[in-house]
Amino acid sequence: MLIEDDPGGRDLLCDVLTSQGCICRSFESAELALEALSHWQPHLILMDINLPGMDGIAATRQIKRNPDTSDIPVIAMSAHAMSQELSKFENVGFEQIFTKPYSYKLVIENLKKVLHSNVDKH
Amino acid sequence: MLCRRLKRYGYECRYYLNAKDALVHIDRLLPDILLLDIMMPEMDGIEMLTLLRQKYNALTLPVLMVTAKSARADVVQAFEADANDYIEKPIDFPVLVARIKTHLSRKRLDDQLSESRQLLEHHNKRLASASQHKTNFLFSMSHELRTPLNSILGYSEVLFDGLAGELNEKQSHYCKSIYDSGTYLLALINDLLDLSKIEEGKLELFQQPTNVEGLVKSVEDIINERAKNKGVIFNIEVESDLGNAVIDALRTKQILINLLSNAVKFTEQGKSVKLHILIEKQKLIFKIQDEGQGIAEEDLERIFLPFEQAHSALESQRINGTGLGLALVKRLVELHGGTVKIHSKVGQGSEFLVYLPYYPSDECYGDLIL
Repeated sequence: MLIEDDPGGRDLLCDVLTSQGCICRSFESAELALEALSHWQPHLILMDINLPGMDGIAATRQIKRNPDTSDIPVIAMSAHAMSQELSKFENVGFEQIFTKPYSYKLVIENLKKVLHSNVDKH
Repeated sequence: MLCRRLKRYGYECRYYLNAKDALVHIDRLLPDILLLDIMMPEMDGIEMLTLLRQKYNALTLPVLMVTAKSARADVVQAFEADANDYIEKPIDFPVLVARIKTHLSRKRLDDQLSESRQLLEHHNKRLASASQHKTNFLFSMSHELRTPLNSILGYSEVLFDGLAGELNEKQSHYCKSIYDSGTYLLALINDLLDLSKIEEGKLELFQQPTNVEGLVKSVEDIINERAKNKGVIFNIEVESDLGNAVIDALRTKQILINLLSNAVKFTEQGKSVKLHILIEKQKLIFKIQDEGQGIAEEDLERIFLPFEQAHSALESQRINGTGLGLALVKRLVELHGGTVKIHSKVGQGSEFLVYLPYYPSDECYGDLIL
């Protein structure tokens, strides 16, 4: 599951993930994504932080509070590159944080790591 | 009589026969100076002065007391009640005018002073708010610029790697140009943002226990790629077990990447760049050595200034950089409480030494952020 309001970033990441054999569903707002989560369980969530309406931090807190979705790893993507900004992301429950712009190679490599370690846990 | 003479000297003058009448009008008139007789019916001059001083200090309302001849006790009392000056009766008119002049010119100076102080305070407030606006502006600009750059860099990278089908040589070359320019733009945005934050004293470090080897590894991946592209040999030498140290992981990474990419940039194909890491005397030391062309002695002091690059470097090779990298490195190291040193000889290469205070830790949190 990909949540990203910038259409360029959304299509690109979804295409890249699809080319790697993933099934990617993208949403342009946290509200739409949360609604979809009530009847769909993705293996991984890629969450943009700066979203219109509910932001990625609030959305992730909600995902982590819900026992149905709390096990799904969430990776944050943010264009705020300042250290003190990134400190806000602590204790939210993110598996990892990508700062934008990110290299898609790095994204794929790290998604694989997160997915594999998640499989190992089960 | 006195009032008439003063008017003849060009002063505007009003007189009242007792304290009560004067007090009624004084708030409205706000005189530049008050001539106050001590001996008055009902309320005497000292009493009136005491009342006035609750509202007007000696700067806003200078008061010149009129005392009887040789009435020393009155003079002392008048000064105790915060009178500015006194004159004895019978009044020597030229002396009175001289005193009035002196006090008026002092008051004028004081008025100007407080006026300019108010102006300064006002400007200060405006500057502070302008500076805040500038910071907010920079911050949102950085965010707004980064989002489209994400697409520019992402799509050109994907195209270049052939994920959307094979490109011919020309297309591939164009794609690489888009990617390189985007990367350069990103570096510029990052450096400018950081530098202006530091200049304003607004950049705070986020120091936490960080696995130093993990940090070096992530730097190694990036520099390896650049060195490989240029045919430069890159080696890392780690002395002893580094463990976890309390540092700002992101900023330390930035320091190392800046210095190492510089080293790679200024080193020719086939020559080598070395990173040597050691802990010595409570210091975490990074040595970055290159076999580049070196820096002339006259340039050594300037290279840490923003938008300065060594002349020798600019003339001999067409090397583009933002000119902000080293200025940033120096300030980031200093924020950590460390120092940067440089040794260089033209034709033999350069060595940058970064000394950070070393605080070991058993914990480690700093590997979450990429």
